[in-house]
Amino acid sequence: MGAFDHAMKMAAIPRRRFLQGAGAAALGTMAGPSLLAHAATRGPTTDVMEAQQGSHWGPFVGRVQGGRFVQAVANPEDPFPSTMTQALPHSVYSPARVKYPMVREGFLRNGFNNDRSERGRGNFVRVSWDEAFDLVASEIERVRDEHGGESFFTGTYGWKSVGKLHNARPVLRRLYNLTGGSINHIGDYSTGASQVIMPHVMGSLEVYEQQTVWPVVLENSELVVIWGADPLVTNQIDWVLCEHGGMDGIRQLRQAGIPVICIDPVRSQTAVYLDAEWIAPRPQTDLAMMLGIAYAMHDEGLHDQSFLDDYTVGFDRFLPYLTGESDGTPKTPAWASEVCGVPADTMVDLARRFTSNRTMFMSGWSMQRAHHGEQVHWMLATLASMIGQIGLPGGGFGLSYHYSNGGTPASEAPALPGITAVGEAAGGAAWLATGGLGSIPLARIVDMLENPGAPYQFNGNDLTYPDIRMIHWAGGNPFAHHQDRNRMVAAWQIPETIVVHECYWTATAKHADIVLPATTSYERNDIEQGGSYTNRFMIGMHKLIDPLFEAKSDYDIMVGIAERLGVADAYTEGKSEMDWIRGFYEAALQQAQARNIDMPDFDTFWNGDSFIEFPTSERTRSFVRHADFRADPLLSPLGTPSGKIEIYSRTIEGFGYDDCPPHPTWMEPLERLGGAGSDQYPLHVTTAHPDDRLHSQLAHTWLRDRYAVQGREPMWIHPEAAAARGIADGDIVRVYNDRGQILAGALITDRVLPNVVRLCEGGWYDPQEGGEPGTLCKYGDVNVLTPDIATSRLAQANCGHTVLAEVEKYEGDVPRVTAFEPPAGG
Amino acid sequence: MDRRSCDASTSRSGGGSLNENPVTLTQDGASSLRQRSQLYGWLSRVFSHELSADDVRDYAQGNGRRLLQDLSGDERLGAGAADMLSRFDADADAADLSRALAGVYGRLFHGFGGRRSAPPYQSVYESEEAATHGDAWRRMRVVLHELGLSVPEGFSEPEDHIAVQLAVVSHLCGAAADAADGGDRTVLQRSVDRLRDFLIAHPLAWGPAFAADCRAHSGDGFYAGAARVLMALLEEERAALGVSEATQVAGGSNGNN
Repeated sequence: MGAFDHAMKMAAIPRRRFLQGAGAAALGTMAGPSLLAHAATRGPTTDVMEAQQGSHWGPFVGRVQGGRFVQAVANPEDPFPSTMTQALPHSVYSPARVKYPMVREGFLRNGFNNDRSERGRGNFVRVSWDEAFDLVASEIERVRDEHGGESFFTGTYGWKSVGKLHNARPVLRRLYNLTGGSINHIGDYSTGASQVIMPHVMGSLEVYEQQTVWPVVLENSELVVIWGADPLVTNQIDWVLCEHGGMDGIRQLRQAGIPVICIDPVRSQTAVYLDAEWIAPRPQTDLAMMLGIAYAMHDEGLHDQSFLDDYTVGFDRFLPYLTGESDGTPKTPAWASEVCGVPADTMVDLARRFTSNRTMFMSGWSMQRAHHGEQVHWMLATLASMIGQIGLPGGGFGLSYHYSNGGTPASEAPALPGITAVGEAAGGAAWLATGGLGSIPLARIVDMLENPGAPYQFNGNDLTYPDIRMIHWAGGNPFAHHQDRNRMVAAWQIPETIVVHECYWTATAKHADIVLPATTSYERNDIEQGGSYTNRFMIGMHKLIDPLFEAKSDYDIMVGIAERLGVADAYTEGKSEMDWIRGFYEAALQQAQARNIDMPDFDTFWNGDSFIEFPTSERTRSFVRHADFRADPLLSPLGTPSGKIEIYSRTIEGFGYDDCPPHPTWMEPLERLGGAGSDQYPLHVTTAHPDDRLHSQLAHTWLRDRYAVQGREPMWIHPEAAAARGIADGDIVRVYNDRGQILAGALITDRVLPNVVRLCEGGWYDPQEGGEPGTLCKYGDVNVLTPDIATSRLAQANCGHTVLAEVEKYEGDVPRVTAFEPPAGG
Repeated sequence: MDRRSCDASTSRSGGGSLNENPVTLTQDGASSLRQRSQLYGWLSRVFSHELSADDVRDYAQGNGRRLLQDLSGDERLGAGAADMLSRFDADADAADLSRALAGVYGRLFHGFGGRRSAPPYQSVYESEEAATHGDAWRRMRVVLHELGLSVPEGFSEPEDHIAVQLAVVSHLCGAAADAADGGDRTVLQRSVDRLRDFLIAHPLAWGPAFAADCRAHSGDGFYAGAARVLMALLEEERAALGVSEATQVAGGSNGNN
C-alpha cells in the first residue's frame, strides 16, 4: 500500500477506479459540466429579520431566520389573535405547494381536443414558464377568435389572499378586459340569498354592513339572540386584515352578564363560551319558528303596531298569512313546533321575552344557505319590525356580527385603493362587482356549463347562459365551495380549457389542464387595510422570502400572458410592484391630508414599521344601525321603493316567482328532517364554517392534526344516533345519500341534535377514482353530499345547508387520504 | 404525507484524524478521486432534471450506453447500472421515452406519486411535517457559500436537493484530486476532511433513505437503477467512514411500509 493509499484510507475516502477505457471516457462526457456555478454568494445569515405582513387572520410580524419564514407573530394589540396564524410558515413550505408550471399530459399532447374526462386523474407534466405562457396566450387567442369573449368564464371566486395589488380577482379580469372581455360572476356562496332579498326589504345589503356597535350593544341590550351564527369561530377571519374586535365584543358580553340565547341545531363554540341558553330547532326550520313566535306575539298583542305603521309597509298583507286567513294554516306555535321541533311554549315565552326586553338579534348566514333561503332573513326583519326596536340602541337585528368583526367601532381612515379590473379606481363593494360581458349568479356556474344558451331568471331579469369554452381561475377553490361535487366533476369536463393559478394542489388545481404556481403573500410585497368595517389598520406587507421553486405572483403571471397578447404596457401601466404600492398609498395620503388625518409619507411608512392604526371617533363609537331612518323616515328613507321596511314587496310580487312570494313565506324545502327525504335519509348534515380553517385554506397544514379523526374530516354525531348505528367515537364512517358518498371520522358529542350531524365545509375533495362522478371521497368534502339547486329564481343562491344523509360505520378497506398531496396521476 | 424521520447522528470511529495520519500523495489516488468526482457529477445530473430526448439517445446508443455497459461490470455498482441500461432500447422513440421517463421523474421527485414518491430534499426527510426549506437547506447554503459555489438561476430547487448535494460531493472529490495533483499535503488534508464531513452531514444522513424510496417506487428501471447506484456508492462511503449502519434510515422512511 502506497503512502497515498494509506492516507486516503485513514481519511476514510474509498479509493478505487470503477471504469477503464471507453467507459471511463464516456463517464467524463455523461457527467458534463457541474450543476453548480462558481460564484461568490452571500451566505445565509442566522440573524433574525422581522417585517410587517398581513393575512385574513390579521396583521402579523413575519420572523425570518436563515432565509426561512419561521414564525408569524400576531399584533400584540390584537385582543383575540387567531391561533391559525401560527400555521402560516408551514403553509409556505407545505408538500402541497405547486412548484412549477404544470400541464396535464393529455392536454399537452392533443390540446383542447384531448380526452377531458382525464381531468382529475391525468398525469401532469412540468413545462417551462415560457411554454406555459405561450400555451395560455394561444388558448385565449384561439377561443376568442373562434367563439368570442362570452366564451371565457373569469368569474374567479374565493378567499384570495389579502393585498391591494396582488388581488387575484381584478388581476385576472384586468387581462381579459384588456383583450375583449369575458363572463364574470355575481354574488357569493356566503350570502347569496340575503344579499339579493335584503335590498328589496331594507334597501341595503345588511349582510355586509356595519352593525350597531358593540359599546352600544353592551350598554343597552338586555337580551342578545345569536341565531344560527358562531362568531367566535367565524370572526377569526376577515375579508381583508382581521382585527378581532367582534370577538372582544363577545368576551365583553360574557363579562357584562347580558342574557344570551343561541338558536342553533349545534351548540356552538360561542354558546359554550357564553354558557348561553341553547334552543335547537331542526335545521332549515328557523323561518317556521319565527312565524310561530310572530303568531304568539300578535296573538298576545305584544307587537309594536305603531312601528309597523310608521316604518314598514305590507304588514297588513302579511298578517292574513300569519293568522292563516289567507291559506287556512294559522302559523301558531303549535304548528311551528311540528315543523321545527321547538316546544310551542318556548316560542310563546320567546315572544314575551323579545318584546319585554331591548333585544338584539345577531343572525348568521347559515339559515339562508338553504332552499328558499331568501325568506328567512326577510322574516327576521319582519319579526324585528313587530318588536319595534330597529334603529334603537341595542335593539333590532344585525346580519354581520359574525363576519369580519362587524360591530367594531370604525376608524376615520382614508380608503386605500387597489388594482382594478379596468385600470380605474374601484367603486362599490367587491362582492357586488359586475362587469365584463355578463355576470352569472355564482352558484349557478355548473348549471351554466351544462346548459349553454338556456334561459334563466335572476332578480327579475330574464337572462341566457353563455357557452363557456375556457375557464381561468385564480385565488379560489370552487372544488371546495360549490355544491354537488359529483355533478360538478362531470360538468367540469365540458369546457375546452381550464387554467388555474394556485399555491397548492387543491382539487381545483388537480381538475385543471394548466396549473400555474402562485406565490403566497409572504413571497411578494403588497399593502392592505382592515378590518372590513373599520379600516383601523393600514399595513405594508413586506416580502419575507423569495418565491419558492418557480412560483410567481398572480400579477406577474398575468403580465407574462399579457406580453404575449400584446397588452403588457396597458396591463402594467409601466409600473413596477413598488410603483403600484406607492401609488395606492399616496392616493390614500392625499385623502388623509384633505381630511386632516395624520399619515406619514410613503417612504417613512414603508421603511418604518409599516403599520398605521387609525383612531375611532365619538361618532363611530356610538353608531346605531338605522338610527337615522328611525329618527326621520322621511328625511332618511331606506333604499326600498317605499322608503320603508317592506314586509310585502310589490317589486317581488311583480316578478311572479312561485318560489319567492311577495312576503315571508314558509315553503317546504327540497328535503328536511320531518319532511321530504327524511324517511330514506334520516340525518340532517349541517355544513358550518370550520373552526380551524378559512373554508378550505390551511387544511394542508398541521392545523389538521387539531381536528382530523383518523386523518378524516370530523363528523359530529349525537350519542343516540351513534349508538343506533353501532358507531364508536373515532370510527371511520361513510356518509351518503343519492348525490354521493364520503368518509369521515366520528366524533360523538351531545352538542348536536340527535338527528343532526355536523360536517364542516372546506374539507378537501379526495376522490378515490379521480374524475369519476360518484366515487367515494376519502377525506370528507361535505359538498359531495349537498344539492346544486337554487334557493329560488330571485337570488339563484346556493343551498349548502339543504342536505339529508345516512351514516354507517365504514367496514371496507380504508383508503389512504391523498387530498393534501400533489396529484398521483396514472 | 406521513412524517419522515432521519437519525443523522454518526460515528466517526473509523474515520481517523488527519492530523494523526498525514496525507501523502500518489498519482493513482488522484486519478481515482477524479473518477469518483465524475461519477457523482453524473448522478447529480441524473437526479437534477428530466431526461431530454437527446439524453435518451445517449443512453440508448451513445456515451450513456457505453457508460452503463461498462459500469454493469462493477462489483458494487453493476446491478444498478444494469437496471438503468435495461430501460433503453435502441429502436425506441426517444421523444416518447423521454416523456415516459419525465412522468416517472414527476411521480418520484415532483411528488406526483403521493406517498409513493421520493422527495429529493434533505429537509423533507428531517421534517415532522414533510416541509421543505428546513435546517438542512440553511446548512447547504452555508456550505455553498463557503465553497464559492451557487445554484444557477435556472435550477429553481432548494439547495438541499439531492442533485446539489451530489454536485458538491463531485466538487469536493475534484478539489481533493487537484490537491493531490498540487502536492500540498495540508491542502489535501483539508480537502478530504471537508469531503468526509460533508458526506456525513448530508448525503449519508438521508441519501440511503431517499434512494430506498426512489428504488421502491420508481416502477421503472432507470430511476430504480440510479437509486441502486447511489445506494451502493453511499454504502461504500459509509463503510469507509465507519458510520454505523444503524444510524442510517432504512428504506421506506417515506411512510410506505
